[in-house]
Amino acid sequence: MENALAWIPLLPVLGGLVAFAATRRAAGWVSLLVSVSVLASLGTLVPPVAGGRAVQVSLAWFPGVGVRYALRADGLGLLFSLLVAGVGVLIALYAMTYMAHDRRTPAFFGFLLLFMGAMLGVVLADDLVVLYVFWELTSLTSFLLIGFHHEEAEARQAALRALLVTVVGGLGLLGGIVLLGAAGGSLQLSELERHVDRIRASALYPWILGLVFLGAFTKSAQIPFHFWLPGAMVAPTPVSAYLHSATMVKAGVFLLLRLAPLLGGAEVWRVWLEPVGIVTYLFASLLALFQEDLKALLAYGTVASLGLATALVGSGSPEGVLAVMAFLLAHGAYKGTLFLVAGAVEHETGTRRLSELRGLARTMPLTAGAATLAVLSLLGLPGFAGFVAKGAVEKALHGWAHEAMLVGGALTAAYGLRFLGVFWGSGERRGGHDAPGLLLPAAVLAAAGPVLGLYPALYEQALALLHPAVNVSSELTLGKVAVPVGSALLGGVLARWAGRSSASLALPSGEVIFDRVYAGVLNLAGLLTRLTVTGRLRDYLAVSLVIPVTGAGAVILSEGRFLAVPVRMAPYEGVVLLLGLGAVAFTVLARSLVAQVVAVGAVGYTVALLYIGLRAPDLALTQILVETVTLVLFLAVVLHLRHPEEPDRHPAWALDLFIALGVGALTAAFAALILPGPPARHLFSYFVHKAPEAGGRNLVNLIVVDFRGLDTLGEITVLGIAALGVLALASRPGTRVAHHLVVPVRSLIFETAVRVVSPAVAAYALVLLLTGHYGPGGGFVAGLMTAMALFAWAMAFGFEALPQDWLRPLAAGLGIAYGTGTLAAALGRPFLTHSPILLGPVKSTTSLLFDFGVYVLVVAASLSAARTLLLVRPR
Amino acid sequence: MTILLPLFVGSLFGAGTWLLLGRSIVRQIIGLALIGHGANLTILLAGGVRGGSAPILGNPPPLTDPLPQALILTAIVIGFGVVAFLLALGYRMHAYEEDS
Amino acid sequence: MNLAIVPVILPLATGAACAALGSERLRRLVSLGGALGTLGAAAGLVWRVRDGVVVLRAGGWPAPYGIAFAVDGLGALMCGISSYVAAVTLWFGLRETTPRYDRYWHAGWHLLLGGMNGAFLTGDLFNLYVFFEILLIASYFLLTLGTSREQAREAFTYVALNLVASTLFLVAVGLLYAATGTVNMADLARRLPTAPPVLVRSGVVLLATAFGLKAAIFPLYFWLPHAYAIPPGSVAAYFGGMLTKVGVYALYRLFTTIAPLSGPDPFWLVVASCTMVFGVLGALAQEEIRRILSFHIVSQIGYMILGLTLGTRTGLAAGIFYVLHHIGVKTALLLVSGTVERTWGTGRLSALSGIGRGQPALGVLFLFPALSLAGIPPLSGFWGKVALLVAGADAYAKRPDLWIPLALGTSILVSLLTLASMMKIFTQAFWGPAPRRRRAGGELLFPTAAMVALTILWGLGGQGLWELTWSAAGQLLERGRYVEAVLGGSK
Repeated sequence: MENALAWIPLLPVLGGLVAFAATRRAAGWVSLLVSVSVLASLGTLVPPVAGGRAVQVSLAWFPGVGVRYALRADGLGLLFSLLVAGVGVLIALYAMTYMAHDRRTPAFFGFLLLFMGAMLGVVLADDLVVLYVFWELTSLTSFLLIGFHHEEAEARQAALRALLVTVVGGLGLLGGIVLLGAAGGSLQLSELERHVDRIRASALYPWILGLVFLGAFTKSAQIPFHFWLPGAMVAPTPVSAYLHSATMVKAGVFLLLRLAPLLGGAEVWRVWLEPVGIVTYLFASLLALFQEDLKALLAYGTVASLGLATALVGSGSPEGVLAVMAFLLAHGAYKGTLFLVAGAVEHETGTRRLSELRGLARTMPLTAGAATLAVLSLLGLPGFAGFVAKGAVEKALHGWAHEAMLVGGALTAAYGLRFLGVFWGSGERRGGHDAPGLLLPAAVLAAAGPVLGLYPALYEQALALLHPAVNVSSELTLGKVAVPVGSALLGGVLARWAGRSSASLALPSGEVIFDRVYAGVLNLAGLLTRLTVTGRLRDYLAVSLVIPVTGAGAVILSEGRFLAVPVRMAPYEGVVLLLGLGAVAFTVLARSLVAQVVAVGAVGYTVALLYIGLRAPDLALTQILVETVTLVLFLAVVLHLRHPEEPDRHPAWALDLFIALGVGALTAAFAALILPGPPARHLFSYFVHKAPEAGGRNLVNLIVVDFRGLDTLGEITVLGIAALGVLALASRPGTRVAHHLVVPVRSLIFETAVRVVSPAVAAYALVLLLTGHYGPGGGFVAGLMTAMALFAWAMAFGFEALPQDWLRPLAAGLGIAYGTGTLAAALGRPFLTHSPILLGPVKSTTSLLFDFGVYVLVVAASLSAARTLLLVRPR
Repeated sequence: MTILLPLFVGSLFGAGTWLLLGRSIVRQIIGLALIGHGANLTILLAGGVRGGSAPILGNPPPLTDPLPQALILTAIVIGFGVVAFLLALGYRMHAYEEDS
Repeated sequence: MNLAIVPVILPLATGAACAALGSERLRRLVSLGGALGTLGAAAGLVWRVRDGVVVLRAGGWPAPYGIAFAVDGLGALMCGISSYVAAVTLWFGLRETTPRYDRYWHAGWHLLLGGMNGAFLTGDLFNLYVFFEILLIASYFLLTLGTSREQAREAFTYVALNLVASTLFLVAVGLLYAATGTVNMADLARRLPTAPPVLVRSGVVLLATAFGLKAAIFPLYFWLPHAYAIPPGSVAAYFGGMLTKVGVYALYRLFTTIAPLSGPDPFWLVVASCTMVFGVLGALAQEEIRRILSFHIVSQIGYMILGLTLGTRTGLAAGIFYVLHHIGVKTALLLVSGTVERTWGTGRLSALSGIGRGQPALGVLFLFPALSLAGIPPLSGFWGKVALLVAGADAYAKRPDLWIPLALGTSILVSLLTLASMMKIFTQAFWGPAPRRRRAGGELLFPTAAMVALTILWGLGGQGLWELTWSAAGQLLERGRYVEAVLGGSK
């Protein structure tokens, strides 16, 4: 039995997936079959529940946040699920005829079944998160069904509005659930019910209450969230009858009933629910009276009924709970019937406009009969379910709510009678006939009214599920006959008047407010986005730099202490620094791009000189070579530019200056702060100690290729990708490769010089490569020197003297370096571990091989980049 | 003299930022190059400027800290690659009038 | 053989090979093989780290002297998801390459993956910089492949900003080295508490800015929507799924392993909230599918930062869960947008209609991740959101700071706006009359479905993923163990 319970919400969901894939006819049968089997399974749960034992199942789902797939069929849940499944069977039957000619019938039944599963999940959930999961699924399926005819803009809009409104509430509910979990220490209702006092005493209680109310009010379309429900009437009628009258919209009321044992009873409960419910009740029944559209009339009527139900829950008493259930059952039957009838009328006559529909009783007598039965129940006349319900309602409401109910009763009667005018009013409109497929479900539902009315024992048995201990029949003593009769008579008068008058209520509709709010949010969004995402690099840079400058600046100003560190430098280094400052100034101030490029080269060379002064010969060597190649590349680009001049400064240049000065000041402060260096050189002695093991004396080179070889591996990868990028940028349609720079350099002296110098430089580079472990040098430096030698060669003898395809050497260089590292790993040693090798007479390690990879890559990358930038031209 | 080092670093960053905030692509690349020098120098200074000789065993102690130098070596190469790529990109933006 | 290096070296080598191979058939074979191999190795790594931090000492030198890879749960999970995203988007992108760029395209794909995986796995701050540079230059490379002049200009903005961020990173490394004399993360974690606070705090500010820019947090998110509008769909999906998450990862690493935050503080809660709000508002202001999705990347980063800021084990686990979920969902959505752009030639909502009517499968492939992005149950995004809310409620119970409920409330409100914006796409582009007969081919739908499957799998069976992120969060908080594993006995 527990297993059956676990499967009850899932079965329709799976059935829905089957329906999607089924044919048009089969989908309907799947739907019917699933609904009937769900109803049957629910039937098996009735005896234990009637015996006072709730059936429960609890499986681990997401224990990480305390969520279990926990379901509980108690009286309340079972009663609602019987309503859901029972009406579901009839709707499936009805829709098989109603939707017979739609191309997308399978999708329709698929969504319908998904909804049924979700709704069953809501009413059977014991875990609140599970309840929420199904709750949102009902919103979602409702969205998909309202938008079923999404070719029409109206359907799309209504669907979106309904979704957003219900999801507002859903998210509120989620918040409430999380808080409830925090306050009560569990997410399972059955567990929480043991900690009621703790919850009510919690500081979170008012928040929980407010958020839960938000969820309930939006779902049950209470004012001011009511507008989505009439809008939802663009859905196919079976959907309106099922979701938007009989079941889903009642989820809000259900939620209140479900949580009443935890949260209810307090005065605040009554203070909120009664006014909201009653106002909704009166307001919506008044609006219903003035509708022109058959379904809109019913929709407002539904809103009104939900208002009444909400008010009843607010009364908080056990009679209130019974009255709600009595009322909802009766309502489900008669309102469901009326929707099905409305659908049948539209199906047969092609219109839903009240003014065009009169006297249909002649052509659709049986449908008229069903409608009449339903309206009689709605009026609450004796002998109908509505009478019993009305009696219970009357007993449960007190004070002003009671008076308001009498007024509302008359309005309700009025719109009910207006509806009947479609059949019994005198008029010309004819057409249609009783369609059996549409009539049967309506008739069954309509019959529920008199059956329950005449045999209240059935009613009592159903309601007894709620409180097995309480003697229900004493609570359901019949109400006064005078009330319903009186309101029916008054309603008749009102209905005649409303039918004749052309008065329409011009009230601010929620839709308009919703749309305005939505448009307002969009406007704000557009404004903020235009202000922040300007598309200008300068603005972005300004923000990105102001943050660290202010952040770190504040840190330094508050606690920075500058130590005077004696920097031992030769005087010439002071000169170098001054030169550097001058070069920087020139870079900024020079007006021509070429001059700026030369100046930045000068800055690079002074930095190299500074490296010498700071005892970093490897850096100096590298810097000089890199600077030279960079300068060539820079000049290549600058000389090729067709439009070197462009507007340079933003009008707000003072801000730029301010930021630049700030960045300069901050970094200068950083530089001053770090002059003392680290408190201890932990790593230094290790490097010294292990240098022999790594096979060399030049610590920098040892670190680069061995201790931190992985950095170098990454660095050459960057270089390789950069070279690839340069190639790719130039490799596009509409380019050609020139064979020479601007003009071929034809000079005997130059050629002779190159013939002598280039091979010498290349050879020296090889020496640097081999001895990098012992003195300044290494693969990178050697590679750059070789590249420059080859470049000079190309200048003299044309680039066709060099290989044209540099992709393979690039890849080869990377491959050698990667391979050296991986070789060690393949031999079972850590990645990039170097092993000793003998290279002829030279004892070395595989680090040399690694460095060779670097060398190859650097040669290839530099030459391919230079060649591309210098020689590839637009055609 | 001590004041000159931080001043030079600051000027590299400040001038680089100023050029970056302008609108010309090539000048922005120049700015990035300047900032790159500044960052490299910062790392070198982070090792402490206590004098000594180049970190090659056999040189008279004390030796300077080799680790920042090794890090900068990597940073120089990376900066070189990136600037080369940027130049190609800048070239691409200017040189081709028509898009295919 | 230590598995940790494989997800890095294999894609790098594959990338190099793809650049060199002339035969297209062979190249594609190598490319796909490399992608699958990387994925396998990454999966193995995820499996391996359940028992503790996996350390790889490159060159056999002990940390902090050499470079060590230190793979914990977070790193392994990120490596796993990046390998998956790379494989799926590569599959998708096989239709998007042209013969002219094919070799570059494949090379860039793998080199980017290698760079990302290296960033996730390395335990050395400077080495992280190097891998950042690899992934960045690979991303510049892919971004500019075959671009037009205007796109090149947009790309330049992206490149220049990232270079500035990289410079900040370098300066920060300098400051921290001056403060501690080390660049190894575990060693830093050990030494920072006693180091000169001015250097440490300045360094952390710079690192947070650099990482925050890459992660596109408020107010440093502006570059993202423009940049991601440039490349073809597969590249946008690859980037949109993974790239910013490298920044998020780095923030997680910084503020847990290296310099832990001391509980939720208002500054980061406000940053997280503003990231959510500004991102989602930006999305609402857009009229093009890809731009909408790009702004949502920003918005969702806020949730990830929220998890990090909460700092509790639940918070971190929720944050990591959110990161992984988001990567899957966002990649899937961008693949759908790529499919739409490729098939119908535009992503402008006003020019699209009835896609779901014409091809329901594509509608479903959009709807699932779209709902998941908005946190609708029972998809993965829902669990991420619930876990964050639960973590927030816990954190508030421990320290009643009013900013926490404010941030949580913002997160709920933002998920509503997210839904509104996703449904705007759905109702305008996927609903409505379907006048045109064109349909997207299966070769685009299958990879997308492989991505969408994640959110369903992690929705219905989220607990499986949660256990991994929970243990990853635990490892982040047990810093002593991390330090011990990396440094062993060395002082």
